Amino acid sequence: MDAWKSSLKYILESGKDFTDENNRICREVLNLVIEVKNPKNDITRAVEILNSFKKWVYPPLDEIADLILSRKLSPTYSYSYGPRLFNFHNAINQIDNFLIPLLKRNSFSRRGTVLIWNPIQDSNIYKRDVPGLISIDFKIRKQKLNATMVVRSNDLFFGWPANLYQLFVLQDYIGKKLGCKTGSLTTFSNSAHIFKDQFEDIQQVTSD
Amino acid sequence: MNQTEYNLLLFFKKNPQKEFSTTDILINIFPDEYKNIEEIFKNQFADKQMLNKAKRKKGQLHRKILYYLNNLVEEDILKISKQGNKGEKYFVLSLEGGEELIINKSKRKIIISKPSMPAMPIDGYEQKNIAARFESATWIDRLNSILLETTKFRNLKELYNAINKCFSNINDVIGLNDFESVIQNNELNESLSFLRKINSECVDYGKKLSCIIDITNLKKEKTNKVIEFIKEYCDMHSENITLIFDVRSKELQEHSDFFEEVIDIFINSKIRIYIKNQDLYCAPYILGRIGPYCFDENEWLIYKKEFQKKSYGLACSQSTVVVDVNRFFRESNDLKQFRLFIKNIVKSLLSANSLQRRKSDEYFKNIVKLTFPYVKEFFTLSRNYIRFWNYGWKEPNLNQNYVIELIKSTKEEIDNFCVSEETIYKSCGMPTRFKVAFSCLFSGSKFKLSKGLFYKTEIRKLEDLYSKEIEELLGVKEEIFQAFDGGDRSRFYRTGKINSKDICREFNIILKTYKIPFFCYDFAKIKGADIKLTTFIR
Repeated sequence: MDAWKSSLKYILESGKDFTDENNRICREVLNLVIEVKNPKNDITRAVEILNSFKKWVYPPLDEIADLILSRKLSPTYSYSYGPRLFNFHNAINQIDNFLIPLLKRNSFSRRGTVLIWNPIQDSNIYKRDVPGLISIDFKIRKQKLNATMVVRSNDLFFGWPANLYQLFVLQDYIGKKLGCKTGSLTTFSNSAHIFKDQFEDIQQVTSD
Repeated sequence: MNQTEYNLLLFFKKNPQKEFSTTDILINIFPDEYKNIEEIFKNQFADKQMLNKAKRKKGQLHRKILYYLNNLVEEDILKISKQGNKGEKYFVLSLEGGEELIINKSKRKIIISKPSMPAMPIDGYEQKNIAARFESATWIDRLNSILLETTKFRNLKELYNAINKCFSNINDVIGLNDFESVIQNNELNESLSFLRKINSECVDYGKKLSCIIDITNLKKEKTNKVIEFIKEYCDMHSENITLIFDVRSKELQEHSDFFEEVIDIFINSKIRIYIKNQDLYCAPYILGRIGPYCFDENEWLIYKKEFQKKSYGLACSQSTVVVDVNRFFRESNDLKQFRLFIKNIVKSLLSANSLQRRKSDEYFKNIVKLTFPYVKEFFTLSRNYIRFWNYGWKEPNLNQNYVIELIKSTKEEIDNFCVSEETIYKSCGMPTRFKVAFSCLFSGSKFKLSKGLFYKTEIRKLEDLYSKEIEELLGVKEEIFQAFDGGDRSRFYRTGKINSKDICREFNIILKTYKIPFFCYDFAKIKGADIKLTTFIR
């Protein structure tokens, strides 16, 4: 929660403005790293704050969680993280058949990385919707499972709270399967940005 | 699925929130048997043998119902909530709020849902009959309307099977695009047999079908076949199948002989003829029980260019809420409140879409199978609908511009809200579509609505279309067409002495002069008399 507020404030104060391909004014910080050491404490707090604004409806938590845990690709989504993790390119279950056995075999492994970005589908300049989330890395250190996600394009105001929650539920799923305590969550945002349309709302959040 | 099991599921479906004891369930599932047993217990003259028999029977019934209940517990459909006095078990649905359960056994499908708490922000308005969900029981697990591309099906049997399968996934109407190809490319007796069979299915399933005939594709040498087909259609007087003629004014002139013949058939059968102006609106119109449906024109053009050739069809509308505007303003005169109310409806539609999205592969199994591998594309043009009833069009003493401006400005706010929601969902890694269209609600729907106050537009002769009164009326209608991006329909009651040549000319005038993309001529009131032009209130 504090991490979210501080990051928003940091982008507001130090970000550089540019106009994106949708003609929206965007304030950006490159390669921003946010580490949440005790996510369990207030993992849903940012979503609650976003929900308290009456002018929009934030996606329900179960749908956010579903997106990363569900193996099925809903016909109404352009892509979904769950199928990419659990059935990547209809070829591999990266979580159950790779990551978990890997970390069970060698808890200090540095190979615990799973991919969301699929170049065969996504490296296409004409494709409209491609995932923002690129990869997730899991490391067990001091008997705790720590997770880090790399996000190529991260709307820190609307997107980051959902991304963090998704990382949290996935970490929890894997932690339970490994019989391991969960540790920190880290996000690495190649482009951490906010949009000018939301500056007022963001200021309201950061000043509270 | 066994009948007892089926009855048990229906019983819980009706009461998804409640907890029931084995005895409660027994009384409801085997009411007659239970009543007989109880009567014996109450009978003062019943001997010991009779009482023992009744006790045995009661025990048997308990064991029987417990057998089915335990099976449902094992299948995780029910769960035991507690054990009461003398060890009697209590059962509840094994569902959380907002979840749904789909039980599909031996051709029987039951969907049990437990409403989430808190409920939708329109519930209060529904209680006052100001708003209503269209087909509330299947609000989430069915689509309102879809369009099938008939040219993608190799033969009539394939098309028939597809329609039949889609019936279980929709709750209003299926549009059949390029239906002229069905008539022109098949033997007349085959297409007629298809028409009769599909009409009977429509009646049985309570669905509508819109057959869109694109006059651009009409082949001169096949017009007789088309005429014969239309004759048979009109003879059927089908309430479920509508033919929609998609025309340009130029084509109307080019095919004037054909049209005059067609119009004659409709006049003689006193059936409404539906015309869509392709010059004004290129995307198809579909006619449902509750009103028209259409696609966004710009999106349709992209679809046509990039995808139509591969596509089996498109979802047109997902969920619909109807609004009784008159009743709302009788309760409150606050415009701000009205905008908030519409926004609440949109929020409810958003929640409905969220539930639908997560289960769409289960809900729309047949459609998924039919459109594979282009399932995602099937949903790319779909919208939700808000249909307005009694919104004051030509209501005496009401400023029309004011009503239209209110609808237009509310629509603008809703569009902005939808864009924000799409952005939020996309930022969260859920690139999804959320669009809401406004449209009208047809009279005759089953909702408990206020009495409709609308003008009827009556045309007696060609010159009427140039009269000041009709011009004004149609001017307002043009504005409404602009406000209702989900489609509208103008209905002209044609009276007086008529012939098909005149009607054809009138169509041409409407197509060329007015910005009315979709209209119908109603010949039901023709009496042969030369009635004066009137506009009257229903």
